[in-house]
Amino acid sequence: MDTNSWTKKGPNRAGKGKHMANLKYRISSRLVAAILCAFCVLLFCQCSKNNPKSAEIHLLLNRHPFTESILRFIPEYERKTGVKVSTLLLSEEEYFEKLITELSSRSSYYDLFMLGFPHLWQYAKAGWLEPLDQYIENPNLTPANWDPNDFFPELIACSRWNLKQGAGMGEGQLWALPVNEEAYVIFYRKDLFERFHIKPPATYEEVYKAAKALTRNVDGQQIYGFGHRGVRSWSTIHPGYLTAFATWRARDFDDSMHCVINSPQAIEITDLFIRTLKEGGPPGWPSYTWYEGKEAFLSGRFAMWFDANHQAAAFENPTKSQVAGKVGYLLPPAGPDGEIRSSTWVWSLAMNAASKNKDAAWRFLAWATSKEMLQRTVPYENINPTRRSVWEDPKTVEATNWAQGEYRRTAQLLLSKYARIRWTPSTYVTQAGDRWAAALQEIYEGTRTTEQALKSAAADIDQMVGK
Amino acid sequence: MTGYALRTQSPNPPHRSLPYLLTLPALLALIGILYPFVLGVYYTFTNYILTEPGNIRFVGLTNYIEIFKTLDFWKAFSLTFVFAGSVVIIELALGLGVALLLKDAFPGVRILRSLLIIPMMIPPIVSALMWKVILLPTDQGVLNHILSFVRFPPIAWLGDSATALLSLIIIDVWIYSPFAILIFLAGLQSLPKEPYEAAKVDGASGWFMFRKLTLPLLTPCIVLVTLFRLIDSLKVFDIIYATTKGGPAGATVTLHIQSYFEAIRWFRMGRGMVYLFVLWFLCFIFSKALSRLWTKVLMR
Repeated sequence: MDTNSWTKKGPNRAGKGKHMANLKYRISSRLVAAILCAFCVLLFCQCSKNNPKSAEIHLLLNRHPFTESILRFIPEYERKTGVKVSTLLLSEEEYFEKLITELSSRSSYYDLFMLGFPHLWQYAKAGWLEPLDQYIENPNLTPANWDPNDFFPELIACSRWNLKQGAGMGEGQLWALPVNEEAYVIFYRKDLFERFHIKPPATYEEVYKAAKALTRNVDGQQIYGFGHRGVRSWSTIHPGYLTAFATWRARDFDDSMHCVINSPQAIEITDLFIRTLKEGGPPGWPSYTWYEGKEAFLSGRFAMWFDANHQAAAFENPTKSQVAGKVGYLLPPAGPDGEIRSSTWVWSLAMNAASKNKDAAWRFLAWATSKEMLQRTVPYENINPTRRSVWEDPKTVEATNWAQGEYRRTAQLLLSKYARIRWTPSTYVTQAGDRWAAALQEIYEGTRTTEQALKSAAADIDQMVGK
Repeated sequence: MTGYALRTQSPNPPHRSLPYLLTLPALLALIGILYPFVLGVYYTFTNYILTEPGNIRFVGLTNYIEIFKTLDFWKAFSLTFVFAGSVVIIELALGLGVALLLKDAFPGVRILRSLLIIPMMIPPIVSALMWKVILLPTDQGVLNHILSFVRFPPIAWLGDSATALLSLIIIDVWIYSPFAILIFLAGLQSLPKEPYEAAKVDGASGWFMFRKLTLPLLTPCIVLVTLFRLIDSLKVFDIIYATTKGGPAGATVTLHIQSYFEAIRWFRMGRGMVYLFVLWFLCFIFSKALSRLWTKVLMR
């Protein structure tokens, strides 16, 4: 700064102006430097946040009765163990998008997360999941009363895979622990069926006829006979449709991983299923996720709703439901050979292979999947339990004794006899399922015949699989 | 050059580094923008599958050739243009019309102007979810419920391929028309009064003045609105993601939505990036052309 010139020449206007300009210049340059420093400090703080200390674990969770119930008990866990547990809860579609972004970038931020078996197959193959057997076998990490044999064996089998495309489910490493199981039933409005003298359907043809007959105006309200998910997503394929598809003995892939969703049996059942939705379902079926379908059934707009059996907890809750006490539970109808088959879904908790807090994460995982905790989540609609002791506990029996025990009877039969994973184990389930769902929408919209749509989808899926 | 200019003005040595310091954020931002872009373009030439990160191979133009051969690409390509073209035309017309109505002072005009901005203040994803409830297919939907009073059967607005695109256009117009209205309103209020007074003296009709005075004088605003809205609507994602996710039966799959399916849902990052690169190229061409036109109009 030219201070001498100011004192020597006096405070003339030009000198003052120059002095002010210099001062401003210096202030602004320092301000810029300070802002840059602050930015760097903030950036550093944010980055260092991504390296949690051992006393903190991060959970990425899907919005689901299990997560909503376990969240209630997390403060208790934090108090007891001193471990801080931070969670991020997202709805299903957004959840999986966030999860794939985190895992594919090999981020270690989230230690534990939820997944279903399609994701288990994808992520295990990619090397993103931590195998869990070693933790179960370690007495220093797993309490003695944490009984691994108490889980339903079918559900543990769903969580093991030997990483071979097209086979190997139930073999190899254990990649996750089941926390919630669902199989598929047809929820039906007993009052409407009785009022219009319609017999509860036992075959898919009867479902079609009942759906058509019940799509009518009842006391000023439009009722639709049959509801099912419809969005362009693999999750549309998975519940009722795949149940019906398996009942016709149709398959997604053959033994050499060629897509066979256009087999004659597949075309026959797909045609009947979509016809049921078109003639006995709501308008705009392709816009239905399970959230919307469940809401429609809750508010009395569907006479039948083919989806996860544990939604009974909401349907039977009079504070949420307009149909509480009027709901019946039907096993999936039998196919041409008289056999019943159901698809199933298992929600599990898995550990990030890149986690830096694996021991702490495992301790939480063991706590969350213990008998005691799974039992405590039952009153908060975390149904169906994945441990035999919890399912048979008198408190669970009392909590799930809906429709004079009809719910438990169907759930028990499904779990022990009819419900299996109907997808071929591979890393292509979600991609193939999305394309398959697009084909169902084309059939529904009439832009293609059933045969054309399934043939075209099968060709595209073959291309995805690299066949 | 800037450094030289500053050095001659200021004799103090510490100031020498200042120009570099000042350009550093811009340089960092440039790297931050260019690095993902270049990486994305590189991925278009690879077989990158998200779940197989260790198996990235260079495949040349295979992704481009495969995608350009599919019907899905051309459907998404044309749908992107139909959507963008429709919303730009409607928003221009509606924006200009409403701005003309609101340019003069009358009781309540200020409240009306404030109310009109509301859709723009709501995040588009929230607006889209709100519209999803309004357009629910059964009589649970607000619109269908209202229509039921005049004995209209429920329409599956977002669930029917005949009405899904139209519904998305309505949502986009609802959200972004206020932007056009604001620009046109500002443009109309800054127009010179003299030509209008002269035209009035000559006995010109309102329509004549609109055609021969207002429209030509507003051309910079029209180009500006077209530029912003065209680029934005070519890239549309949030509204479709929140409402139809590309359904029903692919009736609302634009390039951006198809890239989301390819890259995020089907893990085929290489193919997903091809869709995005084509989209970027389209936006680049249009923004260049329109910004040139804008400069030309301003120079006139």
